Amino acid sequence: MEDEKIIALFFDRDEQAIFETREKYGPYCTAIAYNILSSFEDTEECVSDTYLRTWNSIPPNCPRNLKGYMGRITHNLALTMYRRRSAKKRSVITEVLEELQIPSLEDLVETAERKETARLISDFLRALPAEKRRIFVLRYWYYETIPSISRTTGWKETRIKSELSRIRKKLKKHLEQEGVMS
Amino acid sequence: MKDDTLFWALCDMDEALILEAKEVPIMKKKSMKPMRIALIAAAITILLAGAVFAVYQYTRSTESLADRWEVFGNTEMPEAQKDYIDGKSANIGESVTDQDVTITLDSVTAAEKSAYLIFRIHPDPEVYGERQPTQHYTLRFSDSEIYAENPNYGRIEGYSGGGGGGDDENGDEWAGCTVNFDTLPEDAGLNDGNTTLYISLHTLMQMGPMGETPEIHGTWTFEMKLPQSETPDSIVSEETLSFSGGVEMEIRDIVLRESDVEFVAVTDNSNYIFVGSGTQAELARMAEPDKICLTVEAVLLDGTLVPTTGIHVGRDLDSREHRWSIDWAAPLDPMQIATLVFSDGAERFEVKVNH
Repeated sequence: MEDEKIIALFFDRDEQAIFETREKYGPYCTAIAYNILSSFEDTEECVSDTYLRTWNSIPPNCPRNLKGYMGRITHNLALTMYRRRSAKKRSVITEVLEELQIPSLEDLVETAERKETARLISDFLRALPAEKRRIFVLRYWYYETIPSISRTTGWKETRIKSELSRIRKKLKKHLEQEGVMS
Repeated sequence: MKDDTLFWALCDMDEALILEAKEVPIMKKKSMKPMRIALIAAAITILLAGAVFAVYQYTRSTESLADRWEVFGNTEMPEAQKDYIDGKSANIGESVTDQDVTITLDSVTAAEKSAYLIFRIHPDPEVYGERQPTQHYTLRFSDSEIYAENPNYGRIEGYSGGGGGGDDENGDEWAGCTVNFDTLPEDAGLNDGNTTLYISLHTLMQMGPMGETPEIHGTWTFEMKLPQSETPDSIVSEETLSFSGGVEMEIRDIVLRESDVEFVAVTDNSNYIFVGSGTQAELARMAEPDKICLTVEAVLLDGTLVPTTGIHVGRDLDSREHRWSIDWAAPLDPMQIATLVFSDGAERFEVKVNH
């Protein structure tokens, strides 16, 4: 079913909207949550919460892109669950935090600085060649493993690791020049 | 800038960039000649005709393990692998009702050291109302009591691992869990035909349309004889792999089993950490966690990469020998494994297993 029709079902408070959403975007949301949580039970809970959040937020929201909207909800919910877990299982997110040299993750708080940094990151990524931008987003938004990115892109794992390292350095320099990172 | 601002800012990157990364490049289709189309159509007709007479239904526990394989490995489980698991599975169909909720043990798969169980959940609609699409039920396995009994080795406690869930064709919800018995005696197997598994479930969680999660507490106890199957012989490799480039390490005593691969890693430097996720066993030095220094992969005879779900390591600081084991996502016939690949980026060793 097309996104517009699914969104119309949400607006009509028709529960078929949940079925259609699960059918169309369930695997996408599951993959995002699993990469963060590395647990089937937690992933299932997180994706169920995503449907509920979507149900409760459309209306009033009317997303331009349902896939992106649900992906972001799943992403944020999974990160919140990850943070709340007392015993943190080692997962891709742990690697990503290490790669970004972030010692600990605090609560997600909306700040103007974060919004500005996000805008600068997006601008920086748009200037990269498409394939490099893709591996960066797969690693640092979808938290995919290096072998998985290798299968998707056909690049060798060693090449992906060195490209990611180079992009991180360039991004750091870019953010320093823009004055948001010291 | 706070330490984690960069991380959260990455989460907020432009939606178009996020969606673009998952777009699949469109491949140009080759045009097919009419004769080729006719041959393919004929082949499909024959296949469809055959399917009318031979539709094989795997147990739900087999299907669920195949789903898990797909989630971990981004690849479909080969049919031969499904057949292998189904040979270790049985439909049960035993139901217990408490608190007006009927829980049915649908099917079970038993390998040497672990069992995989599928339950169907059916709350009485007269008591709980017709289940709405936004309502979901799932079982909590963490507070269940689980043990196995066998006349040869007595009673052994088990613990449950992750599960999965969804709706079945009857509209009932199902939940799956893996039960591991790591303390089973060396030669004992859950699939020896003499093992009875007990599981007592106590909590059913509901997920309502408004996000509420009330719990139903009760007792649903099941006792089942686990299906008998052969445990394939382990495959032992005599090869010793000596890495001297990227990582200084010797790997030996490689044993391939139904549930995992185990080997001894000998190194002068125990300062390593595991950085692998669920799908890949990876090792890095503590000082350089973003620089992977060793990866391990298993490839099946048909070329499929085997997804893995966990890595365990036993360190012996005196001898510098560390025993690694890497779990497969589902029970596996070691005879189906073609190659084990160990790589540190600089050197790559392929251990040929079944050629």
